[in-house]
Amino acid sequence: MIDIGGIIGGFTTVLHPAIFGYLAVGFFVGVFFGAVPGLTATLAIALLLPLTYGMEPVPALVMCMGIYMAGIYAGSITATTINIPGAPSAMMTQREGYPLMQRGEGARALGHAAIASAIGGTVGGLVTLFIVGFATALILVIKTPDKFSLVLLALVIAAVIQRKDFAKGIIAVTLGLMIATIGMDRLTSSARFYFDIPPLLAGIDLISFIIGVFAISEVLIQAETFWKRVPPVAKLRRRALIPRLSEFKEIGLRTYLKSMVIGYFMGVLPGAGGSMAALAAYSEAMRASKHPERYGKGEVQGIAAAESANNTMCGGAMLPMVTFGIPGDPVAAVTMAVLLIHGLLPGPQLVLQQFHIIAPMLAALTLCAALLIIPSLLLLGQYYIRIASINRPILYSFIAMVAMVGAYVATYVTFQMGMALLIGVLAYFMRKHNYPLVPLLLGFILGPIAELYFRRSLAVSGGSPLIFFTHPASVIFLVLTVVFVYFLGVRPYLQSRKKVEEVR
Amino acid sequence: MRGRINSELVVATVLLIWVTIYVVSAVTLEPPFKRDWETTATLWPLMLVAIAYPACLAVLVRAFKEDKEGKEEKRLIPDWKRSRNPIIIVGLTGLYAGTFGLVGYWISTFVYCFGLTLLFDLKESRGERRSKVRTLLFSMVVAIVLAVIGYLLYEAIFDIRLPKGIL
Repeated sequence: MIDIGGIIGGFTTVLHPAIFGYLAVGFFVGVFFGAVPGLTATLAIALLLPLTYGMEPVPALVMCMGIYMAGIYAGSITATTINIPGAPSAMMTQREGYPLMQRGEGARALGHAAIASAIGGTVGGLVTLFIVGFATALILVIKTPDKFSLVLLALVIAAVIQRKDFAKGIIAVTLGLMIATIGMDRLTSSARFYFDIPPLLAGIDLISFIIGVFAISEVLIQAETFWKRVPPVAKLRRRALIPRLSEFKEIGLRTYLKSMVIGYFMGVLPGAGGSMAALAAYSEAMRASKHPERYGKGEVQGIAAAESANNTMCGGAMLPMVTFGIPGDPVAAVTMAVLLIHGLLPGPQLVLQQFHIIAPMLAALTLCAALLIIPSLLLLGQYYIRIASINRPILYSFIAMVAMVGAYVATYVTFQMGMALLIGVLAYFMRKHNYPLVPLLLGFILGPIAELYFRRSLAVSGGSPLIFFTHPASVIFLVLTVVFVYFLGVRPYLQSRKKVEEVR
Repeated sequence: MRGRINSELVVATVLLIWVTIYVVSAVTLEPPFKRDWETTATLWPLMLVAIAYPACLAVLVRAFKEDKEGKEEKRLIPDWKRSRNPIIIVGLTGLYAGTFGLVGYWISTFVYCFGLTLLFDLKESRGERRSKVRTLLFSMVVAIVLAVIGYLLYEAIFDIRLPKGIL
């Protein structure tokens, strides 16, 4: 089940100078988008999506992996230096990094963040490379009703995991599912929900949807956000970026290992993402620490836990995406769109028949973390800390222009530009009122396959929904769905109500 | 509070209206099952509505309760001063989408980037003394540079054809 030859082939492909060039370009794009507050790796890949039409799948995917890994890592740079996390996943790093910066030890914090990111990213990528075969074998066993229950589990987790507001999560996911039904029905080819607008018969294009959700909504949010002046940052000494060996002993191997396990698991869960991974690992490190009082005042152990977890998450998020087409986080979802653009349908067949495409993608994730993060910080760290002071009027005008032209390029129809705008306005209002966007995206992406599996299952059973309760794997997934709903949705709600009543 | 609307309520109501339009469109399609229990394109949408409706109602009721208790003071609309920029951007983007195919990439992109840069620059320089001529010139130069970069990126590097329009 472990295709050693394929794995070695994957690494060899990425190490070819031309392909490695794409990885390096992706890495620097990712550092830029990760370091500028408000911009994310998801947005970077969303903007890049239309351009990947003209590229071969391997360079396109390798570049995306560079953006992904660097985007998650680079959030720690501004989180430490100017107290604004470049990416949401760096919020825990900010808690410990900025106090160190104030004490004149910012370089130490950046060094620990880079090393932890490199370790986590490398391990996460390697684990996925080695277990992707086993996961595929498992997926091959399950039948159509089980597949529906698995997609349902993913959608429910995505809806309940991010916020305590269960109802808003459910609304977001069903909204995504509803938008996905616009156009032609895949099974019967009958038109639905096109409201007598002929271009809607083709449905809403995935690229326009992604661009609307991530790019247009971000531009609208930035248009009303007060921009803080970025303070000048003192020059960093290169030597100070390299942490002392005694500090690693203090952090402990256990902290790294535990954080990576947490990060990987969070990556596999749909919709959890880097911020949840960092938060969970940081909280666990603080709980297990001999000196929890040091947390919040510049504790490097906290930085190591958060950064190793959020970068290990990258590998975890790729596993369900490639094996079943269920993305673990928004970047994985957008990367899935790159696969779909090239006619590659995520799932067991992709892993079995196109491992020469999947292996370089996962190898790129590993190599990006192992080879690029630390050397680039040592060489270019001084410039990284200035990224956040970029001229924002130019930046957001450029993003809006690239986003809109990208929506056009996807189908060469200007109607899709309008759709991107419409989806962007919807996402803007959702963000403003705390409706999570990840379930919306997952609903849109997984909607068609969820409906397909559901109706095929009913066709097999002669219309009886009992088919979902008679297949063992399906029952397991449904039980897991109930468990997740209870622990992530119902229990936190009951606890918060209890607290409110106690206060009263 | 008086004379103002709770935006949480507005959003929940809009979502409820959308779900209602969706369900009306769904039921006018065809019955969810054929005679031999074969499913149609209506079944799945009806199931989605069955999930979305209670969730929308729950949010609506909660927003209504919070509005009554005065908890939602921070989220009141209309805060037109703050919402002005997003509204202008939506207008500019709509105009860009509408004219892109007609007048072509160069003119529409120049106008779009000029408008956006001007808006963002004015926003950033609020409270500062900056000459209007400088701001206009800056926006114009940025718009030209961005249009050229976009052209090079799409046409020259990735060989993607952009509409020429009237040019």
